[in-house]
Amino acid sequence: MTDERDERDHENGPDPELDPAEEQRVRGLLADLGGPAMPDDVAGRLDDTLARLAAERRAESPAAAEDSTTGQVVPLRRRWTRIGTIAAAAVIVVGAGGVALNQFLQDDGLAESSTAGAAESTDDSGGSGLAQSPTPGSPPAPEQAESRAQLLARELPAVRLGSFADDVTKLLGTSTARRALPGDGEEKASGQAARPPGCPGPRRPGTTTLPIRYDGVLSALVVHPERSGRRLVEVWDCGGQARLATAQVAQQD
Amino acid sequence: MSYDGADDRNEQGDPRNDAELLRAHVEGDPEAFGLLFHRHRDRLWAVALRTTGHRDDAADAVQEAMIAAFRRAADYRGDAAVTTWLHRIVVNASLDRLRRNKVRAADPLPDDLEERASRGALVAADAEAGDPEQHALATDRRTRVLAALGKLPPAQKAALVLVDMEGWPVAEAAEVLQVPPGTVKSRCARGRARLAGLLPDLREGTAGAAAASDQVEGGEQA
Repeated sequence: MTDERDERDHENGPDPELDPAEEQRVRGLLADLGGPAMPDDVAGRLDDTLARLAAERRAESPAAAEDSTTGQVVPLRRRWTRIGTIAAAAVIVVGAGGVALNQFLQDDGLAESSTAGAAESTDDSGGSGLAQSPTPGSPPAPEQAESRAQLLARELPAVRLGSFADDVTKLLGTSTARRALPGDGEEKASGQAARPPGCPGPRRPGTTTLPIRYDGVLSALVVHPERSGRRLVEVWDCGGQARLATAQVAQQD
Repeated sequence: MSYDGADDRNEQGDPRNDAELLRAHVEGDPEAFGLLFHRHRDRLWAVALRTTGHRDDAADAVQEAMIAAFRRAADYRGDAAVTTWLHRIVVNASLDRLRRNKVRAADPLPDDLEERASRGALVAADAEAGDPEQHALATDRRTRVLAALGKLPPAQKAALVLVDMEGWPVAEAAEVLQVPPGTVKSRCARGRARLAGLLPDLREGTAGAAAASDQVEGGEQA
């Protein structure tokens, strides 16, 4: 946590000494700022996020496979329906650049290992053909959609809270991502945002939204047009209700 | 004011202390983390707001911190109080945002700084409520203090926020900031000296002085 530059720039040499009255004056001014209560809108946003985290946790818990009232095991197919309906459609084309998500996922080795996911995804559908693109115009069969949902949830590019800007910079530097994104000052011709149906995030005209796993959870990465060599990027929950992170990242040449 | 979580029991009718709530969350209790976070959220908010100096950044920082704490609760080893751990995550998230948004350091002061100053002035609100002139003076004073605070290096600002504004003892602020206590004292001393130079003509109001006195009693002088 230590800011090393602060240490170098500001903590060399002896500490300045204020006389006690002066020190007390400054401390009084600081204390006078008080401790503001959390505003209602922020509290509401946190409550929503907390509810989402709890829901995700329930969905990921093995206990979610059991019916709490009857004790009967819920078939995996049903267990995955909730995220299946969201994530399955994410294999559809992303963005005006015409980038298929499965291509995006395989690009430049950014996707997380799918070994575990593939192993787990061999449910009653047999788990074959998971990486195949859907035939244009024909929605995948439910079994296929569920399996893809499992796979997608594990193969999406991983972005982590602790290395957010670095991860996103690396992600946006991939050739496939670059083709999908608007350039310097460029906006989509339609003025509409490109949003993956499976995890659309918020409506942001002129942006491109990519599905990612943010700290392990399916989320929407909203990428704004490049401005003077930098892009604003935001991570939102798939429903577009809560912004989870933001950063300005340099455009990779 | 206590920072070990022992006095935080029963605030919401739940007899469990912070550590018990965190453990319950790790073990699958769906309500425990919400109760724990709700207990501390105003203090976490204050730290994030004063450290980042931006309302939106503070909201993002607290949200990021909450998500991180929720997901990484199993990593809590119990070598610091839960509230220290939570504040550490919030301070880290706040400083991360400052680093990410360095370009903002050159931005003009936000338009709603005065409003923010008023929002933060809970301790003095009663004393000023009936006196518009006093209220205006206090608002102006807080606006200037906030602006001066924004000129400090993030590490000094974080130390002052914890010690002088939130009343943390130096030793516990050091745990939050993950630096030796001497470093916290040094950062506080340098930060105060800088503020003294930036605000040579200001004195706190009566309510502020009382609050400062109360907070100093909470722990070791930095």
